[in-house]
Amino acid sequence: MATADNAAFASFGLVDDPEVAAPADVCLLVEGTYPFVAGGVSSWVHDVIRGHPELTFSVLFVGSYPGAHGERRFELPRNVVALHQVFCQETALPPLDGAGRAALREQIRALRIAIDARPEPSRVLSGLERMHVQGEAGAEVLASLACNDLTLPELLHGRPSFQLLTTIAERVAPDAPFLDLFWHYRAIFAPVLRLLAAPTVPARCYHAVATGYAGLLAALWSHRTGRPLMLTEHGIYARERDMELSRADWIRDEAGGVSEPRSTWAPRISPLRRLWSSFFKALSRIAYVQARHIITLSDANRAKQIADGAPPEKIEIVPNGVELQLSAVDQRQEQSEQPSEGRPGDAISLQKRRLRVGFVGRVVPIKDLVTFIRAVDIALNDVELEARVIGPAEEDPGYATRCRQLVSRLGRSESIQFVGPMPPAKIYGDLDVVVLTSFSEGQPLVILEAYAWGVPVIATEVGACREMIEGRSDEDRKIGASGFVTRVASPKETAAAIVRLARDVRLRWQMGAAGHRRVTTFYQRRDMLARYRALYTGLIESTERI
Amino acid sequence: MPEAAQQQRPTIPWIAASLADVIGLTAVVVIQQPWTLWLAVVCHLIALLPIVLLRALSPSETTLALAFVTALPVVGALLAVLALEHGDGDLASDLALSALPAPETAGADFGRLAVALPSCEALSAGSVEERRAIIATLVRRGDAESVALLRWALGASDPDLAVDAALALEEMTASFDARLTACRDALAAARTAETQPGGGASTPVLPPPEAALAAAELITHAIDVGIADPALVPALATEAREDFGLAAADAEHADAVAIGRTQLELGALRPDSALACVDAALPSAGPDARPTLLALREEALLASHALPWEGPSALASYQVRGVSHARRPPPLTARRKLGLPVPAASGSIRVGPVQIPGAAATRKVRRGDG
Repeated sequence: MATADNAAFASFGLVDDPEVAAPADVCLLVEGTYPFVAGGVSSWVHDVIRGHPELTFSVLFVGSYPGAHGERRFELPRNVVALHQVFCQETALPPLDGAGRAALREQIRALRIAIDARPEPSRVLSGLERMHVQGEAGAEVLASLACNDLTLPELLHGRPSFQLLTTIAERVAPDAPFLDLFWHYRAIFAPVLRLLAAPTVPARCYHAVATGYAGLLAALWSHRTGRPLMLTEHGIYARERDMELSRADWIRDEAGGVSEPRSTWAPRISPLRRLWSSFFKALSRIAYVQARHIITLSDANRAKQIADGAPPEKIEIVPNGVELQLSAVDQRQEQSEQPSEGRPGDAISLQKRRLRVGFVGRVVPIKDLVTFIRAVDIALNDVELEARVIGPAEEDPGYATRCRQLVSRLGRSESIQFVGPMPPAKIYGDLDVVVLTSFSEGQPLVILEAYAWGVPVIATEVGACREMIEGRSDEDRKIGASGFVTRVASPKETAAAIVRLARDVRLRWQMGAAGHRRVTTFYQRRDMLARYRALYTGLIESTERI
Repeated sequence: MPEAAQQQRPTIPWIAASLADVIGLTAVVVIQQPWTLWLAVVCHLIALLPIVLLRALSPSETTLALAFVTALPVVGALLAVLALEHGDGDLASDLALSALPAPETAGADFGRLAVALPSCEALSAGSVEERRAIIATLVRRGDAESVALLRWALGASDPDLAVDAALALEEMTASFDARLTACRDALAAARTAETQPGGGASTPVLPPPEAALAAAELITHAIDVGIADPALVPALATEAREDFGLAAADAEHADAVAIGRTQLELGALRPDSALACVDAALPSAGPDARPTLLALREEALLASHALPWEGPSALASYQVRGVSHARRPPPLTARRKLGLPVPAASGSIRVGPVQIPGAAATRKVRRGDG
């Protein structure tokens, strides 16, 4: 086992050395989320940990580089016995002076001699070759990677590693500029090696909350220790990375003039993007193969996982769940919402009141707040509205500024307000409609929370939104629609839905009630926790037989 | 690189190479006869031999050393030794160049053109990779046709395609917003520098007319291709008009301002203003700008009569060089964007009487009317 690299691995909490720590019941592996980043997945992880007080958890956070994620956003529950961090990259080093460069050259020269004298080829390199050249991602590849017999300097400067690079260049990406491929090769594999070298955190079972790097690490540790692995995917990792890759400007398509599509009618697929994409798909397949249970949130996600190589028999759908706000809903309906049959004046007074529309979420591009703002602007031409943007705006200050400027230029500063994050009781108790205009979602907690408060939802057709609004099963569909589904980036459709709900108080109330019935029947927190409790118990009991 | 080679490089070939060059140079300097030049050339070629025959070098190192010795007589060998011993010139690789597939030829391009689906079909029926490649291409092109295609994809039945298209459009809009902010900042900096000369600006700033022209042209382009938010188009157009006004202060930009302003008015659906702009600019337009302005004038003229209720017959008297067209005139906007020749300016356009439909054609017949 490689020793812990201080720059790559840090531990906090009750134990400092994972090698000697008592194993937690569950080691949760998360990538770029809990507890350092606010958001749906982080809230879900926090909820799962709090919902299982009888179990102990250790949390492993996979981050990009030390210091990239700032302070913790969540107070760790008492049953978290350790929080570890592992980073895919080192902090950038200052440039070397002349003497430093000379010393480095000598080191590399000496290193090459040592590498050339190595008696046996690296099994890790062989595993990486099988992953990228043969397209394998099964148990044998995992076994090869788990050997951890390749160091980062060997990857960067060794002749066998260069040989693998040339093989990839010849067989996988022959039309990629070699120099670009050289750097991408390093960028792809260096993080993998850092993860392979991370010391194994002992646990009775492993639970990865994504595939990707966290899923790879969980699969490796599961393989090394023989402890079972469960995988929960909210968004489909490989698909999300594909979306990012298609827009990544750090991949030069036009390098060397070889890969530039010369015509719209015959575009070339960038070999470097394809290389990265296949790498992320391979990471997903490795986690799928090693996992005993694969949990996802919706039928749509299940289909994508199967298409990406997940064995269908392992996949189970466990929807998210929220606490019901029974008293709040009763109060809401008593106060104003339900238009009484005998008192038509109620409905008239409600129609006169300005509709309170809320966007609840982080102010980041993937949530497409711009479409929400444009939709409200269009709807304001027909009805009176009071729109609020509720959520943290510090994650992408540039985007937040752009949204504020748009509001200002549209002259809607009085009607659209940025109010920052708020507790759920303050959010939903004060809203008539929740609007979600995201480009990508899994199964948004925002929708479930709105339902719990009896608030109808207008959401784009992404992730599980349609089945959450219109129903997943026949029984679910009988409840009726609890809002409207719109196309992505369609402010007119969103505006039309807002206007309709603003003008039809009865419809608004019916949809809110349907949402509440839906969440009561299918999306209760206690049901979700009960299912996870059963899964954890099964995994832990199976380890006692080891 | 093998360590043995690193440790014990032979020195004699390098000395021999330098000596050969020294002999040639000496002959040229001392004897000063015509044939000594040829002797020097022969000596220089001989100097290359020891390097070619030096087996301790890898192919890449040999290439590097030969380059030095060839380019720099006498001192080339010394510099080559320094580069090999102390530089990062070790380019040795095991690339089997012969095994690499040959680069695609133009024929392969034509082949790909033949088998590739049209963009619309590839977007809706192609693989995910093909789809993303097309979308990436459309984003890079960023013209009106690309934006129109992406907006068409937004309405696709496949939600994944719609999301990809939406993300692409968002990327283009964000890029436009960022560039517009930069242009506005540059213009503000230019104005500050003008009012407060030597006001401590550390970076060079554009003169106000140039900065204004850049901002106005950016806005015009965004409106023209359809990236600008429709709700913001009137405000953006007003801003661009002000910027064009500022840019017009510099007579050098007169033609560019006239062309840009006309395009802006056409994009903002104000063909009457476009016509006024172009008519005001034509008398003093330079020879380079004149054809473009005339083409824009025709476009504005047509657009100003393209009323919503107008049918093809209304423009039946459209004539170019005496040829009467019974059908709708050619789409000049599309032709200009595609770089196709537009009708010559001498072609007269005589717009016939606009046919305003009678009341019966537009009035809704209500039950009981009649």
